[in-house]
Amino acid sequence: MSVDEETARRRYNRDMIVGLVVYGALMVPSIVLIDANPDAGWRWALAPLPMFPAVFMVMAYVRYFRHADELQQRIGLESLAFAFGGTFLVTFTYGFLDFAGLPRISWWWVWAVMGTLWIIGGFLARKRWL
Amino acid sequence: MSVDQKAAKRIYNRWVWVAFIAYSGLLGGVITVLQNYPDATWRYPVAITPMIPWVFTVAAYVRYYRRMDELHQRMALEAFSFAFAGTALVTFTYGFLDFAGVPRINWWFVWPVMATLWIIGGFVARKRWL
Repeated sequence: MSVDEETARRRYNRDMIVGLVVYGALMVPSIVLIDANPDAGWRWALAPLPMFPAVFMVMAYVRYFRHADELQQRIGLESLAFAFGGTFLVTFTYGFLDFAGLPRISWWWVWAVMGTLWIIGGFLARKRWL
Repeated sequence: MSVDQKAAKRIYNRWVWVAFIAYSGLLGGVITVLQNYPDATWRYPVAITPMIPWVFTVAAYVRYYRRMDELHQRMALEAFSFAFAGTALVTFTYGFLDFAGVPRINWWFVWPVMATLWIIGGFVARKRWL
């Protein structure tokens, strides 16, 4: 890892921690307020508020990615591609099970599937290239 | 594009068509069966049979990908990554709106979101690299 890359990595880690803290700080009051005011018109604006730190975290990853060397970029991209294909198979399959009568799950949980597959994809890519 | 790569692309395209036709056939059958036997326990395994041709298509894409030259691989990976991040942001945002009370959508509709973003990502990557 070059010095430039290490600086980028440190910045990425810092941005991620900031993003997670802000996310937690926005999500908890947003859920509490929505639960307490289930009919308020402003709940639509309040609900997606925790997405701002999420967008910030995606941007932090893109910035980090641009500073990574070719090999790290390759590993990063391959793990995302794996997760993309896997998410398609999982969500589409569950969609059919939903048609058959399984309970409808909130889209909030799609990210949990994507994140898990991303971790697995990262592990596979690292095994292949490192 | 090399001759080898072109052949791989042709095989992949053929798989997409075969899968689509098999999928449509299975889908029609599955919908009829599910409507006629809404309480049968075997409806869950039957419901996911339309996924079988898509598993083969994903495998065909992986084979096609392995034969691509470096540039096409890079473009493909960037398109997937773009779609991955976009899908995460869209589904997570909608998940928060779910907390606020918007109707819950079947996971089946996650794939149209992913595919649309994949097409946009492919366009962006091609513009950047070609």
